[in-house]
Amino acid sequence: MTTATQPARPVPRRLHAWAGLTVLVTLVLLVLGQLVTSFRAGMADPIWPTEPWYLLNNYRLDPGYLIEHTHRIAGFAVGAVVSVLALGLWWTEPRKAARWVGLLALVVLLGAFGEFHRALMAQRDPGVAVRVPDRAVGTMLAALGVVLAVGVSGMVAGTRGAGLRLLGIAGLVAVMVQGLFGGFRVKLNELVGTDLAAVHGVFGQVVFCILVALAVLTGRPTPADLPAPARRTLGRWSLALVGLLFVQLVWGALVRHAPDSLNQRLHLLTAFLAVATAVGLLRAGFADPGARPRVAAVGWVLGVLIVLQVTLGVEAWMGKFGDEARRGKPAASYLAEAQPVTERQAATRTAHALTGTGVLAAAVALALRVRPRAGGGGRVSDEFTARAGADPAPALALTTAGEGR
Amino acid sequence: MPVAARIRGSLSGAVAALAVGLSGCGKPPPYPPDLVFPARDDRLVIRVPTVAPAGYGDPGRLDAELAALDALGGKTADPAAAPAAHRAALDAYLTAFGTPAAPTLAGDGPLPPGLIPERLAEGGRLYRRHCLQCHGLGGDGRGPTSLGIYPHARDFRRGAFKFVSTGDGGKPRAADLARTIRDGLPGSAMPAFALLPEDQREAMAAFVVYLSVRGQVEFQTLAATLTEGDGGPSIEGEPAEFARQRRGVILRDWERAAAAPPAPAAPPPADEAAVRRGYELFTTKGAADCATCHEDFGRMATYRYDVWGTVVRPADLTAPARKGGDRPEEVFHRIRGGIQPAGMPAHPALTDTQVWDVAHFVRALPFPRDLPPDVRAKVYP
Repeated sequence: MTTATQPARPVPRRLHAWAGLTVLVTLVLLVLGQLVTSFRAGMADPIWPTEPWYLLNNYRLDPGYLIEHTHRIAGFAVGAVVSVLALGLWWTEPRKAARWVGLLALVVLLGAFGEFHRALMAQRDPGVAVRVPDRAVGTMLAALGVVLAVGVSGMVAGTRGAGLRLLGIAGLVAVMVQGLFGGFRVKLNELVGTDLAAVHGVFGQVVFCILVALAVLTGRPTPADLPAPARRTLGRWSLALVGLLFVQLVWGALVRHAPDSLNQRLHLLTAFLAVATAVGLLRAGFADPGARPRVAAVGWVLGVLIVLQVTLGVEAWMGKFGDEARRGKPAASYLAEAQPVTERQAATRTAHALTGTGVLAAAVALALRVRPRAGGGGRVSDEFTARAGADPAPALALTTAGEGR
Repeated sequence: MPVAARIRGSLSGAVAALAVGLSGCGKPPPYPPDLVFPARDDRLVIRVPTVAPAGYGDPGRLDAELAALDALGGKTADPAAAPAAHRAALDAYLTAFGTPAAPTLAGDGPLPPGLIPERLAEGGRLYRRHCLQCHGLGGDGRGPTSLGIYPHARDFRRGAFKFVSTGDGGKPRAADLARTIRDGLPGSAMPAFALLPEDQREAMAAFVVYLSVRGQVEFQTLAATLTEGDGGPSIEGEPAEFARQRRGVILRDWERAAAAPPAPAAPPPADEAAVRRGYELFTTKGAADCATCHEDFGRMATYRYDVWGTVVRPADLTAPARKGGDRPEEVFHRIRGGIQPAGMPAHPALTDTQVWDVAHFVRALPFPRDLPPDVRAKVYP
C-alpha cells in the first residue's frame, strides 16, 4: 500500500505492466532478429512487404525462411503492443481536448502507416523501383506533427505525464522506422541491403532502450533524489557508460555484418573502455552507502551481464576468427563471412549480441534511476485516477506536482 | 537543452554517420589481397542414380545427400582420395586463375569479351557483397546462408547452368546469367538485382563465368584423377596438363555460347489457335512430348536427380511462377534448348512456330480463362 513517502505513479499500473510486456515481446523480436543475422538468413525470402499471416499461407520448411518470417511476425506483434502502449499513455492526458486530439492523431498515424504498408505491398514484385506513397507519408507526417505539438504543449503546460506521452510516441515511431529499416533491407537489398542490415541492427538497440525507458519511467518514481554529489558522479558515469555501450554496439553490428579488421579492432578496444567505465560506475554506486540501495539491484544485473558478455565475446570471436573457427582449413583461404555457421557458433553469437542489448538496457535503467526527479512526484488528481482506473487510495495520499515538468 | 543531452545527441549522430560510412555504403568491399580460393574438399558427383528419389532434399544437408548417392546407384568421389602429388600439381595449376582479389582467365589464347581481369575484379567485389553468402567464396553453393534455404544454392563449379538461350542447352550467354541476376529465381531464395546498374550485373555475371571456368577445370581434373581406369578419361599422370587442356575446351564452350545465333524475333500472336496447337504438341508423343515428364501438366510430375545430384521435379506448369522467367522468349528458350542439367531435353526438331505454339500454351496454362474452352476442359476437368 502506498504511503505518503511513496510518490504516485505517473500513469496507471496497468500501463506500466503493458510497458513491461512490450519490452518482453521486443526481446523475443530481438532474439529472432539476432538469429536471422547469426544464420545469415536476412534474404531467405526476397519478398517484402508481406502480411502478418503470410507464413500461414506460404509455409516452407527451410530454417532460414522460418526464422526470417517468424522475425517479421514478431515485428508485427511489437508494432501492435507498442501502439496500444502509445494510445494508453495518451489516454492519461488530463486535458480533455488535448487527449482526444492526440488520440485521433495517433489513430490517423497508425491508419496511414497501414496504408503505407498496403501501398508497398502492391509493388512488392522483385526488381520494381519503390514509389513512395506520398499521400500516406504526408498523412503520417501531419498526424505525427499534430500529436507532437499537443505533446509539447503538455510539456509547456506542465501536465502530468507529458514527457511519458512524448516518449511513447517516440517508441511508436521508432518501432515503425525500425520495421521499415528491416523491410527495406530486403526490398532494397541490391542497393543498400547489407548496410541497412547493420543500421537495422543498431537502431534495434535504440528502440529497445526507448521501450526499456518507458517501462522504467511508467513505474513508481523513487521516493527521493540522491544527494547531489552522488547523483552527479553516478549520472556522469552512467551516461558515459550508455554512450560507450552504444558505440560498442555499433562496432558489434559492423563486426557481424562487415567483419573487417578495423571493425574488429574498434570492437575489442571499446570493450576494454566499456568494462572499465562499468567498473567505475558500479564502484561509485556500491561504495556510497546513500546510493547503494538505489543502484544495487540494477547494478548487480549489470555486473553479471558484463562478466557474461565478456565471456561470450571471447567465445564468439574465437568461433568466428580464431583457429577453431577454421576447423582445420588453411588460414590462407579463410574468409569469416564465407564460412557456414554451426548451431553452436550461432548460439554464441546470438547470446553475445543479446547480452550486449541487456547490458545497454541495464545501463539505461541505471542512468534513469540515478537521475534527479523532475518535480519530486505528486498526487494524482481525482479526475485522472477515476478515468484511468488507477487505485485512488495511494494517489489521494500525495500532493500534486508536475511530473515531467 | 542540457549540455549532456546535446553531447549525447551529437555523439549519437556522429556514431550513426560513422556506422554507415564504415560499412561502406554502396561500395563493394575488396577481398584481402592474400586470400586464396579454398581447395575443393566436397564430394564430386560423377553419376547420379537412375532411380527416382522419394522427394526433395532438406536444407543444410547437401553434403549428406550427395554422400548417400552411391548407395542409390550413383557414383561420387571424395577429393581427399586423390593422390597427393596429383592434388598438389592441380592446386599449383589453379593458381594461374589468380585470387579472389585478382582473378584472371588469362592464358594461352585470347579472352572472351568481358572477361578481362579488371572486369573480373570488379565483379568479384560485387560478388562478395551480393552473392557470396549463398554461393560461397569459390562458387560452391555452400555459403553460410545456403544452410537454411531450399532449393540449395547453385554450385557454379560444375560448369552447368539451367536457363540458357543458345538453343543447345550448353553454356549460357553472359546475357542469360545477367538475366537471372536481374530477375532472380521466383520460388527460391535467389533475389532480383534489377535495381543494380546494368554494368554491375554484367560484372557479376562475368565473375560467375570465371568461378565456373575455374571450378569446372578443378572438377573435371579431380574427377579424371579419381576415376582413371574406371571408365573416366585418362590424365596420363599429368594433372596440370590435363587441367590446361580442359581450360581451353571450357573457354571455347563459353566463346561458342557468346557467338550463338541470336534468339528468334518477336513471337507470333498468342491466339486460341496457337494455344490449341501448343496443347496438341505438348501432349502428343513424338512431337514436343512434354506430358511424359510434366505429367498432368506438371501436377503429377515425378522427382529426379539433376547433374549436381540434388532433387528436382519437372515444373507444375499450372502454377504461375516460373524460375526461368515467364516472358514469351524465356519460355521459348526453355522449350527449344531444354534445361539440360535438370534432364529436360532440347527440342531441335520443332520449328520456331511450333516452339512458339507450345510456349503460348505453357504461358496460358496457369490461367484457365486464357485457354480455349475445349483445352480448358482437358486441363482443368
